[in-house]
Amino acid sequence: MDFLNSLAVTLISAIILGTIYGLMSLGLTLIYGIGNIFNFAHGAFFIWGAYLTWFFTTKLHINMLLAIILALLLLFLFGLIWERLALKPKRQNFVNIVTIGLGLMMIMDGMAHYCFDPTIKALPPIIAGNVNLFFVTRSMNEIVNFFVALAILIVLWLFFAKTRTGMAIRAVSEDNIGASIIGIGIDKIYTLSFGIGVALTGLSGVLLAPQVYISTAAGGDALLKAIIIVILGGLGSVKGSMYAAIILGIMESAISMYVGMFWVLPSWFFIMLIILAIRPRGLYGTR
Amino acid sequence: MVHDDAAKNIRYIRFFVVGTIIALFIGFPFVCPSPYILHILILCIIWSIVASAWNLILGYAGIVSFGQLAFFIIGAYTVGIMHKYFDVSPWIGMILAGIFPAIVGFCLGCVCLRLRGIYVLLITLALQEIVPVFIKWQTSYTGGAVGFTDMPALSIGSYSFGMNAVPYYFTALIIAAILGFIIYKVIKSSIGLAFVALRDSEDFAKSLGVNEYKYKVLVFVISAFITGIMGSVYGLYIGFAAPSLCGWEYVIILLVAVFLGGEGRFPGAIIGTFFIISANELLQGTSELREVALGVTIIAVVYLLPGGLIGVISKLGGKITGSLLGSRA
Repeated sequence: MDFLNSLAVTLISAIILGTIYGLMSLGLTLIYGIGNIFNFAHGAFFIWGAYLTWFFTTKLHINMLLAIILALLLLFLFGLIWERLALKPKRQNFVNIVTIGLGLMMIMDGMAHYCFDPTIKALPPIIAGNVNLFFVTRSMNEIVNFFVALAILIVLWLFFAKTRTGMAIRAVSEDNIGASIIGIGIDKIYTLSFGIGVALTGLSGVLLAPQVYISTAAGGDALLKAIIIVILGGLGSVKGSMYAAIILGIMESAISMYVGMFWVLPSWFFIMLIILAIRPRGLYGTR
Repeated sequence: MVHDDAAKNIRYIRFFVVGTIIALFIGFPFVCPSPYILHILILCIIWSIVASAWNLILGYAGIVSFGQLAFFIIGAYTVGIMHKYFDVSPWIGMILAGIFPAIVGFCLGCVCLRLRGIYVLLITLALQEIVPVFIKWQTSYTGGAVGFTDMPALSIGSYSFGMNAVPYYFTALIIAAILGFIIYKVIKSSIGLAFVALRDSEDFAKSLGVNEYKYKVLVFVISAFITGIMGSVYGLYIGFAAPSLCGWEYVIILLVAVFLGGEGRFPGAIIGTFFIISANELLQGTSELREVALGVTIIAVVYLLPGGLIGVISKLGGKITGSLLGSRA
């Protein structure tokens, strides 16, 4: 019974961690998959989503759901403007894109410190309380996140498979020249997809805020983990990064259960190197 | 022959400029003994070589690596740990501090330099984030998150450097001059030529037998070696090494230095470093806004100065100055 018990604990925390990491990497992989833009400010957008929601709920006393929508809308608009003004002229130059992203990250982190003093903030979970799953008690928020993540994936899939805009985005990501020949405005698509990606990153920050707490350090952590997930899954492949998130979630919960918490990040790193040595484009990467 | 005369003149001018700069650097501590200014100058010297080593792989070899500070910090810790636990003289420790990062760079380079740019970027970035984790973990050896405080004091014979900045200044200057010369020689050598060939016409260069992978690994290792040594000099001078050295702040300072000076132009990174380190020191104390200012600076440099300061200087000074400074090999 003891073994079964620990197995159940491991499996459940693996699923929960997999959900967290899947959410963390979604925005990054989407932006890269469509526009070939590596969003260095990923971690910054992640915490800004949470910071804005925190600000709206605790300082302006807006309803939680409304606050989230407002925060995501702001991030979306900022993403549109930023892509148009700063990224578009340098889109061809990979090093410049990375550098501009790094600059934006510094600005956003500094502004976060400046606007919301550097103490760690906590966001109340959307649904409070605990649930008892088999042998383990987990917080309700983690379960909610699992279903919200599923819902996001379904909505995204519907968006990309069924709507005209979604299909246009897929066309651009597969062949931007071909797409522009058949009359798709690729500049608009790039801008839109950057905005969507940024808003999704912010949403994941809001959802995970009760678990990771809000600070710029959490943003750096999210960036690093998202990077490893995205490399492992194959850059730009949403499916790949979801699988990678689950694999890494299982690894993390097993390793922290049986070996020790410290080994989690190094083991991720070595797994990443091994996978890249065998499959240079990650599990599902095409480019 | 007019052409020969011009070449001779340029050589004289170059000789004169380099000589003046060397004389200024040697004479400076005697003219201005202010310890604060010397401190900034030592930092500038150290970071300028690190920036040049980064520029070597970023600007010349086209390796988009963000792991430079990992090598720097490994170097700083190596010299301290080697002295504390194995009783190695810090002078020999400095060479070891170059060799260890070079080994790490070799292992990493063999895995990742065949991959596309974005993967190299992400893997080296992950290295830079992993190294502090290891340091914080091995608390008994490295001092953990607090930092390593048992750095040895440098000494020659019975003369200990102690807290005096002047001997450290000359040590840093001599080592930086040697390493800077190595970087210059690498750029001018067949390795540098191979990268020029690869940049100008990749397919043709490869068809002539230029082995891109081999040269990339080689230059990556050289860069790691140089950075590691500079890391040990930094550690010995500050007397302290901490995992926070791997932070974004230093990454972006170095990146500003590289871009401000001119990506892929040799003395550019040195000039850029002197600008940004001095500016950064002047802005100490306004921490959040300094972060914002650094971010704004890097974006502004990317947009407003695509060729860097070297580009501006060569444009202003015309051909002669251009051939002096803008030696884009």
